[in-house]
Amino acid sequence: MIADLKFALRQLAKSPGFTCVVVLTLALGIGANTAVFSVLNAVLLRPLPFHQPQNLVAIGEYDSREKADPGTDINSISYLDYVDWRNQNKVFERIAVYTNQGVSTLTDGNGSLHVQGESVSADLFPLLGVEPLLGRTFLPNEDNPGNHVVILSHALWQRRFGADGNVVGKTVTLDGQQFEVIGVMPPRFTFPIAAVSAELWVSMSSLRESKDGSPPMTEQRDNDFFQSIARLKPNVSIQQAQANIDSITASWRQQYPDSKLYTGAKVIPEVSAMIGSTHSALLMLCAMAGCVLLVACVNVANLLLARSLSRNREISIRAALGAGRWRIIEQLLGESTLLSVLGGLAGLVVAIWSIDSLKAFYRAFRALTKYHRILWFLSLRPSPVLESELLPACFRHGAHRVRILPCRSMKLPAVQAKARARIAPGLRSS
Amino acid sequence: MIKLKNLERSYPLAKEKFFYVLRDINLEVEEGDFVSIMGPSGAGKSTLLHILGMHDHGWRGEYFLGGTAVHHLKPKERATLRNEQIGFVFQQYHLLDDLTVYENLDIPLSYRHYKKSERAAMVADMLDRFQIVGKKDLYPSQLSGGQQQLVGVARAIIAEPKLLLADEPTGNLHSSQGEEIMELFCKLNEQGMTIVQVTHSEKNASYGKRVIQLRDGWIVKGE
Repeated sequence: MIADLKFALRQLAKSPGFTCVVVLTLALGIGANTAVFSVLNAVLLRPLPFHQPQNLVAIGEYDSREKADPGTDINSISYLDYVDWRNQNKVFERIAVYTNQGVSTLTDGNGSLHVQGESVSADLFPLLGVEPLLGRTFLPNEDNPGNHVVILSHALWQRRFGADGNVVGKTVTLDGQQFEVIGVMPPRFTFPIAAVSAELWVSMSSLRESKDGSPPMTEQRDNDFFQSIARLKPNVSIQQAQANIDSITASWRQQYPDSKLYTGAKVIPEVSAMIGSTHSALLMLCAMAGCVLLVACVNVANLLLARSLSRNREISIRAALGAGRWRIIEQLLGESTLLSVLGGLAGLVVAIWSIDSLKAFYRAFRALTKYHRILWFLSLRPSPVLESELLPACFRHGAHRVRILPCRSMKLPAVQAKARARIAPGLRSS
Repeated sequence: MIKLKNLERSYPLAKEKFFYVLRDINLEVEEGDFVSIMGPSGAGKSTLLHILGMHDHGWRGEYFLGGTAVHHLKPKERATLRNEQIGFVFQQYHLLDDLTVYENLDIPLSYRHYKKSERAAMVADMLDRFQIVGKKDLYPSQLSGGQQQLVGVARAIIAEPKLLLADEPTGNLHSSQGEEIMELFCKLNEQGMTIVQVTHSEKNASYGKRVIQLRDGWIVKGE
């Protein structure tokens, strides 16, 4: 086997053009396929990393003048809309809202740091079914003004606070306001699943405070800047939830005709809200990547077949020296495997680059797609590649059999006999 | 050692017409014999040699090798028998270009499932015997024709076959190199190896014990 690999390396080094074309072809096929499968697995096949994710839904609004059904293209809601839904619905166990705080400046005894913050309602963490690593999550009354509390992400806790086990109860300053640290979330927890992960979560308290005497944003019915997530009660379908939310929303048209006359509400699975319209695009991309791999395999098979013609002499000699059918196929497959490994490694580079591109294309992929999963997918890839190379290997040996070991039967049809009459052309002296 | 009975080899020409390369070959070669097959081009010399070497299976008749009825064997069994009993030397040397001398000698052994340590010892012995130790790491393209054929012979006998078949082994060599190879054959024959060679050269044939003349597929002398 080692001798075969050494020989294979020499063969590949001897024809660098051929090797490069095969490796690049495989790299493109494997890389594109691996990248798309990685994203597909993360986004469509794997459940969201929360408790009973199938019961999580997103609720959003849309302008009914623009379209009768927005599909997954829903808009933000106001805090007051959320409060109405929370208080009046009969279909959700919990409902929560969240909004991005943008970059905040965190100041403590160690200096200042820019961090990504998220304002979330108190129900969010119980709704998701996650427990903090340290401390606790928000209490319902901490959504009220005057309760400045913050929960840290595991990464921020480690990076900024040196994984201090006594961090709970300490005070930090966020954009000039004092906040008490009440908890630390477990590693790998991230919410919302977005391009830039939140590093800390604050309650709704700050947003509900009036800073300049005017009503806070959370008191403005038409100030839509929250995203909403809810957990369905057991045995409640999305259709039932939709009907319930529709009835609540319908009442707004009479109560708030200035801002809600044309407002519709839509309940969709949370995962659909995250990937939105990219679902079908992703499936299309997957099909295209499959075709790319297929074309790559066919091309590689063709290249190997073409190359086999130039290796008839060598294979004839090996057969004459005693190599059996499987021994020759084994050697050729060894070479193919080496090409596959090289193609796979190059494919890994292409896959990583492709995933970065896909992440740039849609932000939700970023948090969902993990590089370590790429290797898992990559491990599946040699299979089609080897299939594409097994055929040429068998063909090469088959071709060699016709010429070197021509006969199974003594009574040959004329056509076979003609072909088999050519005894080992590479071996004959005259 | 070898017994051929009514052996024929033909190629189809047109409907139910055949071109006979070998006709009614009856031949016996004793163990330890050194036979030279001669004849003009197209007489069927190489075809006969390739049939004896079991590279060609499209023949009719009976072929016994060391008492084994080759004509009754399946292709795989023939390959096994060939690996055990036969070494083949080609006119064009047919060394594997991308393998060193050492590796070229190792190849037939690796196909016969010798252990690595055994193979190393056998290759070392052969390199020593043929005085090509210094060339073991060279590639065929770095050797002269004579040296390449020397390696070709070494490769043919490294698995210790009982029968050595040589298809014009000196055809591409300078006369002095050819003599060297023929003397080597004589030495091998003296050590008990049965040799059948195809040659155009009367001089080379004279190194053997017996000459068989072929013409138009018939044995015309030496049956």
